[in-house]
Amino acid sequence: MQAYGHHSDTTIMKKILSLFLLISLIACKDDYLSFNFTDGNIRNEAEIWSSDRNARGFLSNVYFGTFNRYNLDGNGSMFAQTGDEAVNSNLSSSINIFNNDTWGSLRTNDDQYANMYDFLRRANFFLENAGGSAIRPATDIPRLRGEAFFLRAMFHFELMRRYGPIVLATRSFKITDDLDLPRNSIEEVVAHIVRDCDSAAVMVTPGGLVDQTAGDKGRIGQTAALALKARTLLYAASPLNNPTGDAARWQVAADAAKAIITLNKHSLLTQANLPNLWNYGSQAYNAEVIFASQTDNNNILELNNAPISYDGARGRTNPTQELVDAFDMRTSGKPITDPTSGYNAANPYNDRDPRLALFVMLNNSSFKGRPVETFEGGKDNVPTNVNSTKTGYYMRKFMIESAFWGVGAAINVRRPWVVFRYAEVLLNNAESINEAQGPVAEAYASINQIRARVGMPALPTGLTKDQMRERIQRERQVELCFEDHRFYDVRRWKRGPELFNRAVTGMRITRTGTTFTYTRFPVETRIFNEKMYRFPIPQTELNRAPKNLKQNVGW
Amino acid sequence: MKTFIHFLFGLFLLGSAGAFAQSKNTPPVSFSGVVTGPDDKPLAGAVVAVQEARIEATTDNEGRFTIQAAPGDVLVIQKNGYLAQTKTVGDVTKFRATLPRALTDAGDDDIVPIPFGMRKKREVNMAISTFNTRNLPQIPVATANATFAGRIPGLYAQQTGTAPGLDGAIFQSRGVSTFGPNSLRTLVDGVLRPLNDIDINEIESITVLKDAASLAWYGLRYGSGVVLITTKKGSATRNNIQFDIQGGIQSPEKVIKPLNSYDFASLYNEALVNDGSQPIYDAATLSAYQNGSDAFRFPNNNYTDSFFNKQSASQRYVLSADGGSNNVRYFALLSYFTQDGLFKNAKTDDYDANIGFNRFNFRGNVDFDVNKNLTIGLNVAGRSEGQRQPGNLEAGTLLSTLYNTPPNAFPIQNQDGSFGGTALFQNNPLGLLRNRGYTSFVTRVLMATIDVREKLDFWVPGLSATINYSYDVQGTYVSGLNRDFQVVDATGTVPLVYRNQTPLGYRSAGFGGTIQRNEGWAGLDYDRRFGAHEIKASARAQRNVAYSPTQLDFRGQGLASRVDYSFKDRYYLGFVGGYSGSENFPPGKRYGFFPAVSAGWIVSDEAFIKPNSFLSYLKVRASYGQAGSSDIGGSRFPFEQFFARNTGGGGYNFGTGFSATTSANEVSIANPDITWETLTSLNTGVDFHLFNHALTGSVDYFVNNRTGILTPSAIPSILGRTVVVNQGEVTSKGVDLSLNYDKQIGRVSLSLYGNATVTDDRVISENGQAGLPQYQSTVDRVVGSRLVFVSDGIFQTQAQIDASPKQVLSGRVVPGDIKYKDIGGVNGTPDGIVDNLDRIRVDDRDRPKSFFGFGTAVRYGILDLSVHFQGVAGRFIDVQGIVNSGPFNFNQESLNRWTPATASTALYPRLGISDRANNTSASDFWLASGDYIRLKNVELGATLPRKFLSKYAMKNARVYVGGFNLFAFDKLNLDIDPEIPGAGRGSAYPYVKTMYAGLRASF
Repeated sequence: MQAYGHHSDTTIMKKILSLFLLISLIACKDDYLSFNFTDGNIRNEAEIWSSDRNARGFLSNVYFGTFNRYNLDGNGSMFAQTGDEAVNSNLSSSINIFNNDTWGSLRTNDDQYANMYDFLRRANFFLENAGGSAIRPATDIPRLRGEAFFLRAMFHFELMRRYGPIVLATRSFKITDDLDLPRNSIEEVVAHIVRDCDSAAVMVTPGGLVDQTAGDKGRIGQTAALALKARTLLYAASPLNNPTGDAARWQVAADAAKAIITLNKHSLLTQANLPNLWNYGSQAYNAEVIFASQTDNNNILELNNAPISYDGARGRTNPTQELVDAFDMRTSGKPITDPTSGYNAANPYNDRDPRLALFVMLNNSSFKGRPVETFEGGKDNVPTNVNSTKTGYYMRKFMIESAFWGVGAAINVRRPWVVFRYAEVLLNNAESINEAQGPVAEAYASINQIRARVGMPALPTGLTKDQMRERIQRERQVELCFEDHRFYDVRRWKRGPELFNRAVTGMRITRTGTTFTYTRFPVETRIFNEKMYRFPIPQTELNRAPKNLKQNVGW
Repeated sequence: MKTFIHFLFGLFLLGSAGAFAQSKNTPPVSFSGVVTGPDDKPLAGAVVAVQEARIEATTDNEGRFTIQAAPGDVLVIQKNGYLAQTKTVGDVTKFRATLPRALTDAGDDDIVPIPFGMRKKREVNMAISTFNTRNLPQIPVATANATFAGRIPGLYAQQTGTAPGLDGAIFQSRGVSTFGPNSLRTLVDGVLRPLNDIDINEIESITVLKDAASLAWYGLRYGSGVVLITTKKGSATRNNIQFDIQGGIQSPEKVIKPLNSYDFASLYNEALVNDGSQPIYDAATLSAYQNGSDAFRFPNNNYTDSFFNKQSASQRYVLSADGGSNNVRYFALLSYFTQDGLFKNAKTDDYDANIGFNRFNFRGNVDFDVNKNLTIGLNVAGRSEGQRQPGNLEAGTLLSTLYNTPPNAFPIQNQDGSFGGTALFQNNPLGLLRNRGYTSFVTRVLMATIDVREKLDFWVPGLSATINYSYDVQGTYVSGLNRDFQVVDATGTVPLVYRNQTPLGYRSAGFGGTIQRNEGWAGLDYDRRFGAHEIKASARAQRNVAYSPTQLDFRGQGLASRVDYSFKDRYYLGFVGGYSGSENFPPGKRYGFFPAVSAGWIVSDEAFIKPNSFLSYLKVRASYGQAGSSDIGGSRFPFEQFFARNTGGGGYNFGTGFSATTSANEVSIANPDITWETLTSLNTGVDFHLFNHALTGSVDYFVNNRTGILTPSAIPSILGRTVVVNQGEVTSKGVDLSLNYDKQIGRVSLSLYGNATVTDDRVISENGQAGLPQYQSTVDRVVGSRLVFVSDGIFQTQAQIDASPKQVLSGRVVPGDIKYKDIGGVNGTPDGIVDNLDRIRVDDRDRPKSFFGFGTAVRYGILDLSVHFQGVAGRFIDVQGIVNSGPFNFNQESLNRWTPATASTALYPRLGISDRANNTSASDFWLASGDYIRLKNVELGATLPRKFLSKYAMKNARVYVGGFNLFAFDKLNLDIDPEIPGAGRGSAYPYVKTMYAGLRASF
């Protein structure tokens, strides 16, 4: 200071200091950086539960956890393209991870682990908070909580179906909780799902979709809760999860399915109406549907799966010859492998179960007013088009002819993914009662009801339990094809190596004049090994829970 | 807004009144004078100019000059190495001026912009590099960024595109010190503004702030580094009107080499057989492709030849004026730039669909002294930019169609003139170009800054108060025409029609992209010298906000302060501290304080060294401190547990009306501890002049440590939500180097320069690495390391495959596939299976470890030549997507694939149509050196002789020709550009080189 040699140094410094302080005072108000974050669509938690509309909206959002399985990779992949049901015309599709033995904990597909826990958190959040919420009238609260119980059970089921034993999420976890938790046993998981379904069944609207008001259709009804319970118990009783073959488990499963039948809230559609089961533009909330995803309005399924000559469609799902062969003969009611069935290999699609034409597009099937041409050189069999069918077939089920996807004005169609339908309940009932008690009348009644609706003869009487099992399994394969069942059914029956570890075949059709000749040919080899009964837990999850979370066997 | 415009007009009027109010009554007469140095010896070569007039003279060997001036005129006298003087002409008989000698590196030219201030270079202790655009060629390209590549040590500029208007470059500073967002921020006149908002001619200098000591001023705003762009100001010492005109020709290069139909079909057959399928082209078809007998049934298209012109044109016109008087200084500029695209025959009767770009810029920078103490500066600039693309923004679709459609897909036009197409290939390039209409974007930007400075000397000597406020707005208008076409597959018995023809109509037009930014700085400066001591101190309070109609405001505020002290102009100490906050952090934890200190010592001024012609100047300096980066990535307001509700639409639909319900959802779990990234930097450096100032240079060594980098938490997913935490850390070390050599050899003046930056950066911690085998962890690896398989040649036989670990990347593995090493498994040891556990982390990343530039400028008489090279080293690019580009991944490179016959010479694995993951997965097989040295720019110019110029009232004129992005030397065996490897493939515009010619004239 001395060196400056200026007599008023201190005064100057004071002046400067006071000015700097003044600036600090102007600038340092925190208020400028705090503004109302809850403007617009952003809310804090209190505003959710203190509002009737927002609290109800929160539950609506939990429903988004319901799967729509028509287009898993954005390029037309479906679970049906695994196992022995179909081939994806896109040979590079990620769905082939399930088929070509490249599946692993670091190379997953349809890994719903994090996604399902996300929705479980939402369901738990609602269950924990709805009670004190501003939902009015308050008498709605139990019903809405019942729906959340169902959804929680469904998300747990989707995890169990894939990974087997899982960590149950019975509350919304906190960031500070120790989340390195061990997996609950399959019995604990089943018990929890069943308990949630039971809670839901008594809290939600009694009955099925018919009993919901027009505005509430699509919500969980009593039969949906019972259907989930029945399917869960069927899975729990199946060989994969019931290694000791405890027959009592089958009986419980049979009873659970029977409970829905007894309620008499659902029925099978007629054969004529069957194609419209998935067409809500025509038969919204029809009597066969028990629970379905929300109804999308689009033409993506048709664009992805229609034969290639239809406005550049991608022809993705190509049913295999194995699936086609599973359809019995119409007149005799016998499987085509039976020499007395009346099957003629030179005219293979003649006199078949009517469902074959309803579910599979065959050569010469009519679609959009003209025949499908999958014969060699036909419009829908063009080798230079990479999307061309690989098997000689395209998928027909789910598709609505009025859809239009070419350039120009798109025509969309209303279609949900049907999660539970009455035919499955009947099949669940037939299968479990046969396993519990043998081929009793109840088993016949359930399965024949399904056959009768398409005009198929009843099953012959006097089948053994094993013969009955075989017929029920083929009935499931046919009736529920492309609906995500076969992937899991073959696993829970523990028949993977036998059914899925082999080549799938197609049909080469050549035309001479107006006659066609048919030659079967192998399309691709598919691999199934023991570990594939369960999905691998993703490696990143194992890394995050190193103490207690253990990988499934073989992965 | 209205008030603001009135205000602007008022200011302009004031400015012009000032400029024209200088009336002179006395007629000028010729008089002489003498200029001397501080030692009273005459100074030769000093320039004497009459302020506000276009008259100047140069002193002779006796320091004498003769000039036309009147008493009352102000003369400005300048010479390099001396401080400029202004002197009013009084007694015209005895005019004598004495110029004081400037300190080394402290002359008038050695000004280094720092945040809200200027320093002489010798005063700077921080890591700052400045580049004056006088030394930058004027090139007719849309974006200035790329021209700076290799010009400034520590500034990495990588060109990211080539399309008209989109030929910009990303800027990064030194090494990569974060795996979060790391772009440098460009501040034009102190405010966050993109560099492509302005014309190159508006730029006076560009300055890179590289260490905490220079960045701490901004607190937590710009921790990733800053480029300060200073626009030109008028000078009271001259008046100048300048006109630039340039024309450029751009020609495409390195475009994918397509196959003819015969080769394509043959390879396709081969690939199918490799896949285990049947070939689809029979011998008759193949020979029809070969002999070209039927162009309609067996087309053989070369789309790139048919749709690209060999060249496209660009033009640039700039008119600028600068000057001033005692109390007003101005710089004004108008510029127009226009650039055409490469598409051929894009003009239809109704419109031109060629990709195109044009830009109009204006700027008016005015400073005026209202009175002795008050100075007001007003910088107002604007940009109106138009971009055009074919179709509905379909330049990318069209390019992709040109590169990726098989040559035999369809005839471009059928026999009847209709567009060809098939079910699989409905994009006909001719249709896309001519029959899809066009889209036009017009973006308008206004940038205004007002700067007020009031000297408070009357109260405290050396003190002044300043206010700086900026107001920027921008918006985009999208419009155009629309139509569609149909394509016909005429190969069958019945023609099949795809797409839908629609007539020409207006595209839906609208405004968007509206942003308003305001930033205000207010505070005090205190500059004073007390004998040998000098203090320069500043303090500011700051606020900034960005509004946009679709999002919550971005806001920040804070304080910035700095004290620089020097003793004997030889010892320097600096302190800087920024205290600032952002709305993105939790209340109570919003503000951070970021201090930094720096010191410098001019060793060469010490008695024990000087005088010395070898070491003319030497400064050593160091800085240490912290700066923050609030730009951490992730979603906003991570400290809040947010719930979103949907007021209409978007919710789950129930009911027979399928109407969407309202929905509400928890969006995020709060992390109450979220904070900024903290940069701690140490920088040490030396600046030196050797051999009588002929060789000058700087070397800096730096260590940048960045903590608090955002990474996902490692909480198990059963939580149901992801949380981000500040748990990443990176350390980056390196050296910046720059050297310049200037020499006058007879009539030749020669200048050589070079700069380089070498870095090494390592991830110290990153979440999500726990549980990974050590060879896969990013920790201890460079930022941007790659996870790749280790290739071991190509399988030649099935026996080899059977004897090797099972590869599960694809369903089929056959001879011709890449063989990989079995590195590890679930237990960390080789397990006989090659899966994702066999990938390893390698440091071979895309970002170079070092980058450099060098060049020369030579002048001989009226001729001048400049050559500039730029390059990178230690960079690796993944060429898989390049080798395998084109229709079904086929192009001329595919001819080098593995086949049983070419097994020994094959460069690449076998072909395949589907299930190709084994041969396309990231592996070291496909990593190639991305090092290159590029001849970035060559320019040859001639300055026209004065005799010739005076006839046209020109002061100065130069004509020149040059080339930009001419060619690159690299180690690749592929015909691609190493800097933009994807150009001319995928959906990217071709790489272009630019040849240009121009004229600059000043009046």
